[in-house]
Amino acid sequence: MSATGDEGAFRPLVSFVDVSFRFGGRDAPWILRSVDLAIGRGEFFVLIGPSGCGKTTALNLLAGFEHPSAGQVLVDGEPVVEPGVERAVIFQGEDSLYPWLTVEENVTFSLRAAGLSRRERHRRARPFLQMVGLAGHRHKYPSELSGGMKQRVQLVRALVCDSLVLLMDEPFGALDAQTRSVLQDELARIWENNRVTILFITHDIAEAVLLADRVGVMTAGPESIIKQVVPIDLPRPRSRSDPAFGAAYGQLNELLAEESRRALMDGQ
Amino acid sequence: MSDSSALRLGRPAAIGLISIVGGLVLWQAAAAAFDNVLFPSATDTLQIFFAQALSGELWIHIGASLARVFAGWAAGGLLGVVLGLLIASFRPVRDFFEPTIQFLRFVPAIAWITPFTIWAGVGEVSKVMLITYGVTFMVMLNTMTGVFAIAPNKLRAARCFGAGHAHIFLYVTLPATVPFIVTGLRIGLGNGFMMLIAAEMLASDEGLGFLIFTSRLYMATDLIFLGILALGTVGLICDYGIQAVFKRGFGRYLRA
Ligand SMILES: Nc1ncnc2c1ncn2[C@@H]1O[C@H](COP(=O)(O)OP(=O)(O)OP(=O)(O)O)[C@@H](O)[C@H]1O
Ligand SMILES: [Mg+2]
Repeated sequence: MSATGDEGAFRPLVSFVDVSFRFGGRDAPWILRSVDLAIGRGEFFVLIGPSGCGKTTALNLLAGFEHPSAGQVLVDGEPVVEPGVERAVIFQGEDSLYPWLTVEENVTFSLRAAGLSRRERHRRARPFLQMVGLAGHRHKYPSELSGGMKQRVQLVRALVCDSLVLLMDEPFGALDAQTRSVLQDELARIWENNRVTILFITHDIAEAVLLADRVGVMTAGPESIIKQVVPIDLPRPRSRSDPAFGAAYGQLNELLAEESRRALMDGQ
Repeated sequence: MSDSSALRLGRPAAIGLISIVGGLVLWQAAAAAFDNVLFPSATDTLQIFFAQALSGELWIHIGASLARVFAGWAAGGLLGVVLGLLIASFRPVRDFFEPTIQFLRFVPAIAWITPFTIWAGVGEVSKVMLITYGVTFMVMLNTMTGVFAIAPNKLRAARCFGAGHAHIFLYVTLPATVPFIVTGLRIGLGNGFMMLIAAEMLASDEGLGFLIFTSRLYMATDLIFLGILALGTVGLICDYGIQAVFKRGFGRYLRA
């Protein structure tokens, strides 16, 4: 496991072991080829890489939406076989919310599927809704919410599951800079409190530096791998104006630019 | 109701009213250019409307037609929703029915009028069957389209958050499909009226189709126009009714 890092006692919560994936049979191109990855318990792991390199695909394998063509995806030592609440997903885009359910009904979807009473669902959702400032909006429908509020709904829907891992696919990618920055701070604050394991995908290098314990940089597809894992050893809460922040940003930017250039060349 | 919401309701209604009044004026003007026997005017038709409404004749026709169309529409709607959901949700069921559906798509319901009449007689049963068929098909196709249109992330989210097949079917697939079902029911009602008139023209002794068809034999164009006017009005009221009922009862499922 090349991406595991240093310490010998490191026992990952999530691991990709020699994972390869392609859509379809023999003739289909490999999207991922021999990917190794290990994410520690309580770690905030950020995945970056050129567009179309297979970040969402890797997340889908961990979520259980897709299955590896070769290799294994393990959570807590067990292979992933199907989707489940212990691996809650915050989806790329807003179309995963249910427009016919209110905010509270959306965030308690998993509790309802688990057969909890209305009162119990309400009781569990309340602190999380308060945490992200949605308590006053719990009877609204998604169509009545701003983009930032919808992503908060997605976040709470995942948080109420008390999952082992949160899988976040560019959760703030579609938001304006101001809202994005507010949500990044909110997420950082929540994570510093609960220390849930997170796999977080982004295009935004500053976002990666702000949030990550470690950043995995993927190569341009096809046959992508995680070419390097960069630890971000900055104290929290982090500030963008910290000179060390700039240094980490520069390093990641260089790694990513290299891959994006390669992607462009290959595309021609 | 606040001022602004009264305005919101009032404005489209006012514009709609203008279109109706405008249509009537245009009709009156156009009719003036023709022989009244060939093209009765709006006022001629209004006259015969009052005569027929007062004698009760008109209501008998409307009642007979409405009863048939409603029976066929309700049966067809229910059947269409159930079939559409089942066919679209379960792959083997879909694969099994796909060729049949594609085949039947090109056989207009009217083509079935003779076999249905031979099998079920000239009475109410064959008429309702014909309407049911036309409605079922339209509702089923729309329901299927609705199921196919569900964003994959909605289904993935449901699986991720612990919903089993039955839970997904009841609490994701079905609610997500409601807007398409409503559209299917509305278009289906139009199909129902089409089948209704065809069936009534062929064999019946009351109903709006009967009124239009028999009036032809006496060159009673004003009665024909009355029949057409009644048909359109009844259809329009039914359509508004469907929309209102769904907005009230299922409003949350019609949100974007
Ligand atoms: N259903 C599919 N069938 C075939 N190929 C697919 C399918 N979904 C994605 N791909 C391909 O797989 C590759 C990886 O896609 P993926 O969505 O994982 O990229 P990504 O890194 O998440 O991109 P982005 O940053 O734009 O979200 C892309 O080249 C894409 O064209
Ligand atoms: Mg993606």
